[in-house]
Amino acid sequence: MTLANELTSSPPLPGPMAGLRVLDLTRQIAGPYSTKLMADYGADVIKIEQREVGDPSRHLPPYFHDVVDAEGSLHFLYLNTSKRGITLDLKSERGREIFLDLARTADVVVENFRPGVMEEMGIGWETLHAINPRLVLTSISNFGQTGPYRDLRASELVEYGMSGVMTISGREDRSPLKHGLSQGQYDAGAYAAWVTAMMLLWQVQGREGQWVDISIMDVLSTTLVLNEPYYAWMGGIQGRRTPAGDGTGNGLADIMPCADGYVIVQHRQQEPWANVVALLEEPELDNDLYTSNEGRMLASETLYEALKKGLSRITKRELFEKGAKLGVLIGIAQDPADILNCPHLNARGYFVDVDHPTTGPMKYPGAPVRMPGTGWAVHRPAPLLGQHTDEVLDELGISAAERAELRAQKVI
Amino acid sequence: MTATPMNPLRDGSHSFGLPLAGIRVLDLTSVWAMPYACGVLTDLGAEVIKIEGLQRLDTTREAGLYPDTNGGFEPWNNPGTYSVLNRGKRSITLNMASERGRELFRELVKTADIVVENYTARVMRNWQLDYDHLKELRPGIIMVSNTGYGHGGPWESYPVQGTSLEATTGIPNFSGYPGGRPWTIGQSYPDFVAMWHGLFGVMTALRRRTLTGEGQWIDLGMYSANVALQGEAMLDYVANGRLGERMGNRDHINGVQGAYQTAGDDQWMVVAAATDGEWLAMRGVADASGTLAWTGSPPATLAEARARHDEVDEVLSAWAATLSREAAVEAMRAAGLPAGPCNDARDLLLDPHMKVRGVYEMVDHFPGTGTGRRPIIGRAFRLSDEEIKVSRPAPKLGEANDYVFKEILGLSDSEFDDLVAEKITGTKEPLTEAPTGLPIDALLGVRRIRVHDPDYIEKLGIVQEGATPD
Repeated sequence: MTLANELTSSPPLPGPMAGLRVLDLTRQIAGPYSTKLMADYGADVIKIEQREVGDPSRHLPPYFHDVVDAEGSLHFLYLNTSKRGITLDLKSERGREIFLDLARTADVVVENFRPGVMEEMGIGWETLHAINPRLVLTSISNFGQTGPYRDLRASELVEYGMSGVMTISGREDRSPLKHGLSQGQYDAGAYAAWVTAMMLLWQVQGREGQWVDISIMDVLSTTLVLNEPYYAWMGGIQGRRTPAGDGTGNGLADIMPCADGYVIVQHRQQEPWANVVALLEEPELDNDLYTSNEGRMLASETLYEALKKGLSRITKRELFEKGAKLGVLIGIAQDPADILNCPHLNARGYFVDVDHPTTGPMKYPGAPVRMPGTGWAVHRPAPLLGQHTDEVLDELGISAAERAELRAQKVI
Repeated sequence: MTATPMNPLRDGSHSFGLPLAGIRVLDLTSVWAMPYACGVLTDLGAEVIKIEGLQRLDTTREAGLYPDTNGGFEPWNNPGTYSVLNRGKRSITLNMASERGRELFRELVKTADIVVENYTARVMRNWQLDYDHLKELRPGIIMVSNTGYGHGGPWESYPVQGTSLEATTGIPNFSGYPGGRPWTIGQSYPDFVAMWHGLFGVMTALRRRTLTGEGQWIDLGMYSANVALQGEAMLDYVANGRLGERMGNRDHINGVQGAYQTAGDDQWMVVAAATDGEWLAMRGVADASGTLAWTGSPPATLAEARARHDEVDEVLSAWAATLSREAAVEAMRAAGLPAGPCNDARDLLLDPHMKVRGVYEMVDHFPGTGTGRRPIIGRAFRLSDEEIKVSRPAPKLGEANDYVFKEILGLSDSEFDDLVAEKITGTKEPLTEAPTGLPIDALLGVRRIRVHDPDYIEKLGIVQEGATPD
C-alpha cells in the first residue's frame, strides 16, 4: 500500500459530522469556509441562495479559464464543496415558511448577514429558538452582534486594520500591511466552525441551543499573543520592522533572499548557534557576538550581512533539507506551483480531484486536519445554483405541483 | 487510583455545567499553538494538566516579557505570553525522557479523555505512546498530534515552528509590498490556524465519542491546514496557471483601498470603496479638504480609480496627513464608507467595543508571581445564554504535583519523595537574584517596542501584587 493510500480513505468514510444537518445562509468567504469544513467532514449542509443571483461569491474572480460565469468562480467552487444548494426567496412569506420548516429538521443554522437582517426577515434567534429549541444559530459578522461598532461597515482591510495585526506588520518607514488573499475571512470561518462544533457537543449532551456570535475583528485580535502582553505586562507598544535588512532586522526569523528564492532561518534560543554556522558554512557567522539573543539584537547589522552572504550560495531546497538534518528551523517561500508539486503533500495524498460540470476534474486542497477512521472527503462538487431545490423540497414533502407553483411565484 | 467514568455525561447526571466539564486533558505541548488551544479548553470547563520536564520547560516560560521587565525569583512563572496561553491549567513536572516518567504518564492516560502533544512525529511512536498504544490504555481516548507537516510523508519529522513555517505554507507569496519580497504578517500566524482547526477536531471527536464511545486520533499538520486557506489561489494556478502576486493592501476582489498615514505619531487609517458610488463618496471627502492634486480630471468610476490606484493613494495620503486619525476615520464613515483606525495594542486594550465584547479579561494571577491583576486575551466568541470566562490564572510550575501524583495516581508520600529524588518530578528552587529581561531602553533601542507608555498600569486598571484591590 502506498503512503497516499494509507493516508487517504477510499471510498470516503462518513465524516465525524455525519448525521448533522446544517442550514447555510452564508455568503462570500467567512461563512462558506465554516460550512465547507462541516460539509467535508460529513454534515448535510444545505446552502440557501437568493434566486437568480446566488451567493455574491459566484461573482468573485478568479474564474475558471478567466471566463466570467456564475458557475465558474473559483472562490465559489472551492468554498462550497460537499454542500447541497437550493434557492429560496426568504423575503416572501412562503419562502420564510419553507425555511422555518427546514429549520425544524436542522441542528445548526449559520449566517453572516449584517447584524439585524435575520430579525428583519423574521427568522431571527428568538423565532428559530421557539420552533426548534435544540437548534444552534451561528452568526459571523465584522464586529459581532453587540458593542458600539456592531453596525459599522467593514471590509477585510478594515477588519485587519482595526484588529491590530497591521500596526506590527511591514516596515516602520512604509505602510502597515495585511495578509494577502482573504485570510481574515477564512480565519473567522475556521473559528466559527470550532465554536459551532463545541455547541454541537453541548447539544448532544441534551443542552438547548444557543446563539453563537463571532466577530471577525475579535478573531484576528486574539492572534496577538505577544503584542497584547507587551503592553499589559510592561507598557510596550510594538511597531513594525526597522528598515534594516529590508525589515528583517538581523535577518533571522524573517524572509531573506537565497540563491533561487526566499527563505527564513529561525534560530531557537535553546539551540547552539554553531548549528546556524554549520548550516551556512559562512565564516563571518562564526562570531561570539552572535551566540546570545541579546548579542544578536545588538550586532544586527553585521549579522545580517553575514547571513545574506551565506544564503546567497544555497538554494531553498538545499537549505530546507540541510536545516532539517541540523535541526535548524527553515521556512521556504513557496508559490502555488511549489505547493501543488510538493513531494510531502503528494506523498500524503493531500490534493483531491473534484469533478465540477464547469471545470471537469480538477485538483483542490484536501483535509486541513486528518482524523483517520472517520474521514474527510469532498462528497460532491459545489452546487449549481438551485441544483438541489427539488430534491430538498421533495424531502420536506412539498409536491411537484406545489413546487411548480412556487417557481411561478418566484419563491424558489 | 481514582476511577473516572469514561463519559461523565452518560452516567445519567445531566447537570449542565460548561461544555467540557468533567473532561480531563493531558497537555504535553509547548510554544504557542496547542498551549493556547488547551488554555481555551480550560475556559470551557476542561481540567487541563500541563506536563513539563524540569529539564525541558515550555519555551514561553523562558521568553522574558516579565512584568515591568522584572522576572522575580521564579521568572518561569510570570512571562506575559506564557500567562495568556496557559490560563486555567494545572501544572506538573514529569520527566517524559525517563521510563518511570512514561510509566506514570501511562497511568494518567487511564484517567484522561484527551491527550494533546506537539513532539516531532517520531517521539511518541518511539515511546510507544502513539494513538494505538494510548487507546489500549484508555479506550475512547482522543489524541491530538500537532506537527508542522503531519504524520506520514518525507517531511514528517522536520523541525518546525510557526514563524518559519509561514513561508512554506505559501501565504507570504501573496503578502508584502508590490514588487518586493514576501512578508510574514502578524505573529506566527500558522499557529492560530492550527489551533482553530485542532479545536474543531477535538469538539467533533468529543461529540462523536459521546454518541458512539469511540475515540479519535487527530493528525494536525499545520502545513495542511494553512494551504486549505488559500483555495481560490491554488485553483487559480491549477485552472489558469497564475502564480499570484504581492499587492500590499490591495487585492483582486475589492475596489480601491489602502492604509493612509494621518497626523500624529505613526497613526494610520484604512478605508475601502467597492462600488462607483462609494468611490465618488471617497473622492468627495478628499475633494472637500482642498488638498488634492489630480493630474487632469479625477477618476469618475471605480474602474478608473483602480486603474489609477497609485495616484488615488497619493491624493488620499495628502488628505489624511492633514487630519487626526479619528477625524479621518470619522469623515470617511460619515460618507458611508468602511473605514477604521489601524489600532495598536494600547488602542485595543482600551477600546470600548472590545470591552463590551469581553475580548480581554482581567485575571488575578497567583501570589508570588509578581504579576498581580492584569488583562489577558480571552476568546473571540460570545454565547446568548452563557458567559464563558477564564477560570484560573496560568499555573506556577509544579503547583499540581501533589494533586496529580498523590490524589489522582494515589502515590504515597514516600513514593512521591522517591520520584523527586530521582528528578522525575519536583520543583524548581527560586533564584536568589531576580533576572531582568532587556530593560525598556534597550527594547526601544532594538525596536522590539516602538513606544513605552509609563502610565499603562493606571490606564488598564492593573493591580500590582501586594497592592489592595479596589
